[in-house]
Amino acid sequence: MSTISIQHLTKIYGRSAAVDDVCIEIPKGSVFGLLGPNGAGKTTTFKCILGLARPSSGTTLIDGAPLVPAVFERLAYVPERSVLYEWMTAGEHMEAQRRSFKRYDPARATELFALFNLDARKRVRAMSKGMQTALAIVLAFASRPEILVLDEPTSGLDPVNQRAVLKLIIDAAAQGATVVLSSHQIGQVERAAEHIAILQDGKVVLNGAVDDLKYQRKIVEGIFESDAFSVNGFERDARISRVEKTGRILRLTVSDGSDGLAAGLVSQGAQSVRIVDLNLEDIFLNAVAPSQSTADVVEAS
Amino acid sequence: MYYVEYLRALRALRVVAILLGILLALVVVMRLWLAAVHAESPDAWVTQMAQSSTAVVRTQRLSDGTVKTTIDDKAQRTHADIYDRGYAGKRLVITAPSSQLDMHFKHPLMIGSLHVVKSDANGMTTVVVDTNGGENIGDLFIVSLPFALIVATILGGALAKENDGHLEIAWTRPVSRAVYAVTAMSVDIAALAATEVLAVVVFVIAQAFFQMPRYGITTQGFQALLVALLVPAAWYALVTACSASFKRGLGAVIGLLWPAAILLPVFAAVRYGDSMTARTVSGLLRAVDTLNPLIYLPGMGPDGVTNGLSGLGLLGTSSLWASILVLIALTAAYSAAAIVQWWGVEA
Repeated sequence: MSTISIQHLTKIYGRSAAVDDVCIEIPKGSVFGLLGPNGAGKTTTFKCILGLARPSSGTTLIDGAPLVPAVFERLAYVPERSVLYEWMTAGEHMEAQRRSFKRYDPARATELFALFNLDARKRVRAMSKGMQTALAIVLAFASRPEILVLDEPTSGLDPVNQRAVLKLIIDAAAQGATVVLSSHQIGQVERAAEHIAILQDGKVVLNGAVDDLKYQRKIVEGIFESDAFSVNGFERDARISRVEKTGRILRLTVSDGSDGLAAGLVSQGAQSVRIVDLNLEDIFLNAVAPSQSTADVVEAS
Repeated sequence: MYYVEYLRALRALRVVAILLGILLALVVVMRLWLAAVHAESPDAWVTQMAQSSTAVVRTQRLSDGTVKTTIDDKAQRTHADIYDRGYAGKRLVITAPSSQLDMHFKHPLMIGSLHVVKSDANGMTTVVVDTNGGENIGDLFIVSLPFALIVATILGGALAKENDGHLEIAWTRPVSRAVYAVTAMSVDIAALAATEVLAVVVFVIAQAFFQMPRYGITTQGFQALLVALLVPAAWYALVTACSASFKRGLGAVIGLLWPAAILLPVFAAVRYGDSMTARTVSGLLRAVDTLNPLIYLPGMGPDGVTNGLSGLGLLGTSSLWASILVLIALTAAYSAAAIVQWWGVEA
């Protein structure tokens, strides 16, 4: 059963659709990565899930039912930018949280405070961006929520604290929490997320389990004796999403399994063939900006 | 649950406490100055007068229980009538040559229940001293209003402050938006009442530096108290309603509301002539002015005594109960308008 179900969600601001007919199912107890370039509609999607923005059409369901305020007792949200009260201290934020949520765990909060080396007496306005993000993370995790919606949760954090947040996410999921996160640190998403959806211009361009996506997507490279070889046939193969010819190298980006392609290249005269696994960043770039997806390769002629 | 609102109210009360502290310090300075000016108390002066060898002192009890003491000293040309009403205070009427009295009563004084009034005629001075007269507690609440209005202005626009970058916190608590808004506004309105109570306590302390008044409350005083509590609440609700859907610009709303609320009664009271247009403009201004919480304050009417509502000819002069009802209605209506707008806001 899905913890969060987004059905045909559309959100229009003025004349443009920030989110356009998005359908995503977020399985219970999983870590779900919502990826996309800036302005793709990730934050708007989160806001619609949480009732902070009203969908123009479509529905979002939490555990199969429309959102009600009581859900927030077991749901925590870390927004992309700091929404903390700059005139309040970290300690006062924790106290506000304690009074608002029955599930708030003071011992857990103290532990997390120490983890991020936060000062309870410090006012938010005197904190760095990273400290503000850390405080938001502490506030979110101190209630041991069942659902975590994290929009850029490592923004501004140093690598040590980024790793700490990643561990918190993985641990929370291991204990049964459902985590939805967006991040430009695709490596972190790859490490934590089991499922991803990639948004571009408000639409879902890719959606699925990370392992499946990585299994299906490969680069098959063939090196020929000279650059006078034919690419005929490859363009017509539905599994191949991109064909690049660079001198003696033919590079095929495959999106639906690579069985038989290596043999095909050899039969075309390739001297050597290698199959390269794609990482999530490659998959992401292939989905949103194919021309930049192989930037390490000499420009195709 | 509403800790943030509580902290915000506490910060505003801190501003009031600082202002009241300054006021109290000024009162202490004034008391010290008066101690120098009125080195001798009226009682002491009268006792001294009675001890003169040429003074004739007579005491009688009046039918209402008041003890009247008359001191007559023809040689010194002094005369004093002292009416001792027990807990209800004393009245001293002293007549003496100006050369004797002026040095003791240089300045008239009216602080709390201590009233000293001086008049001169033909080289003689008459000083009337009233002590421990009744002090209406409702009047103190009216005097405390400026402080409550300051706090109402500071706390006003509570929802706009949340709109300005904090909705993600406010709206991800396990309460509905309406409950959140009502409770946040209730906390602020309670802070307004607390401000007035704090100010009244400081006023009582300030009066005690001079003389402890005999506090009481009449029906009119109770009405004044209610008006004093409701005007800041209605003003707060008005500021909140005018800014509830704004993400920014709360300062501009407040900056426009204050001059409008002050000038509108002035324009509404002006007679523009007898033409249809003039009467329409006048009627329109009067109608709009009824939405202005400040006109329901006693003394805001054109005669300086009645409130603006009676001044506008909309109700009789004894309209404090009507004002109270209107203020309750305005507070409720503005609060409802604020909540309705807040429903439409998006993060």
